[in-house]
Amino acid sequence: MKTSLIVVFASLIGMHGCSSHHYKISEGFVSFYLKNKEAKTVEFLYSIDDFRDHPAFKIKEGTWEVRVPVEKEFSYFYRVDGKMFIPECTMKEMDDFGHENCLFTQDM
Amino acid sequence: MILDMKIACSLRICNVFRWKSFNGQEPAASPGGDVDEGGVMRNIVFVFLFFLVHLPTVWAGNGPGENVQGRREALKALTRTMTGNGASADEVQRMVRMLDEKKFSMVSIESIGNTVSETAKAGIPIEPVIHKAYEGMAKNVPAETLVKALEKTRMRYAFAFQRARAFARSKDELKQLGVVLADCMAASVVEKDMDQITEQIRIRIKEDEESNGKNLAEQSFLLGRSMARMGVPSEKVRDVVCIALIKQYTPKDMMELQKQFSRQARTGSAAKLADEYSTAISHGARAQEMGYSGDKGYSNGSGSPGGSGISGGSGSSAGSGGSVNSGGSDRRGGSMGNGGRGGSGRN
Repeated sequence: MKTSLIVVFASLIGMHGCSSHHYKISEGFVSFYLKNKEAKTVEFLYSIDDFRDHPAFKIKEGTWEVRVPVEKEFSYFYRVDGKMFIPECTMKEMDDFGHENCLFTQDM
Repeated sequence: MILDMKIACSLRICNVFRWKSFNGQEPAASPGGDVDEGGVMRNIVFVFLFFLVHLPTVWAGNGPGENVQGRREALKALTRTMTGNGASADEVQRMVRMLDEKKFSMVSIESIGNTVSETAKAGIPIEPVIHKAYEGMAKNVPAETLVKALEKTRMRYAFAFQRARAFARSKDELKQLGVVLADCMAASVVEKDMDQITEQIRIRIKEDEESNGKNLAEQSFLLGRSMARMGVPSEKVRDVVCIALIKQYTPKDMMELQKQFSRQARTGSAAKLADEYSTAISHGARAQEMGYSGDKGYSNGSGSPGGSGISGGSGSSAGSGGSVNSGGSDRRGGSMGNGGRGGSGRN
């Protein structure tokens, strides 16, 4: 029982650690960073351009970066190895398809 | 080339069926007396290839009646209908082209077209509906889910714009306010709570005819939107906004409250912070004082400031709180009641 609990907690921590996410704003651009060691391809899709694919680039082992202009607020999500991925984020909204989108606002 | 391949496949299929059905006997033996197994295998492979080529079209919903020319004409007619109803031609053409490229069935495209037409006819911006279609395509959602999501978006905006009309004095103001209300709902504030907030704003405007209703509504819903986006449940959003309205918060106060909340909610539970805000505001705290509640003893420890209703009384050591919707002509007087002193607080 104890062992299985440890395993469950460890895997939960592991899963959480698999894909963490943050961003940095500089000179009119926002760079999003997604940590995912297993990913082979990462794409970033956001509402400003009607959710077109923006390939993210592997900047170091397990860290992917994508840079987009900061204009107004937008909703976004990732596609990791072809599958939709919504990271943990401060602001979210419902997407009407049964999932959520992350939101980026400049005053975050 | 593809056409040639299809013809070749069809001929092969005919051969297979002729061999099986019409002859009613085993296939012809080779001169050596053996069955031509290579030929049989080839036929099976061609049948497989035939289905491989045609199945995606069937899955995409292109029924037998949907020939290319007919589909093209139907799409043109649908585009005309949408633009005739007031939708922007560029937006609509681009969306229809993309739906067509993604092999949506005519039935689905027509449903989407109807939703866009209905939106345009109602004088609501079509962009949110069209953007939702792009989002759905990017997420590869099934056609049925996409159609439902678009309808949901249309209804959300219809509701938001209908409520916004009460406060907007021009088309621009209506658009600006309508979008804020719709965003609030997208962030999960439900219609019932939106209505209670709207009602409270109306009451405030009646009390103070000189107040700018649009500004008050906008800042109130912007506060609600921020809270909901940060994960505060709908009824708690309603509580904070309504209590602030009852306590005569100005648009500027609302803006300040939103700033404080957005800053503080990053480091803890947004829902719990909303509870603390409700209690503090009901005890007379102003927006600028938020975040320093410990010193004044506003924040409640374990309890919430109220159960149902805006300030209903079963919170931490709460007294007899009223409710915003308790009726009566002077809601302002009864609504806050003696909301109860906060519990142990977080000092």
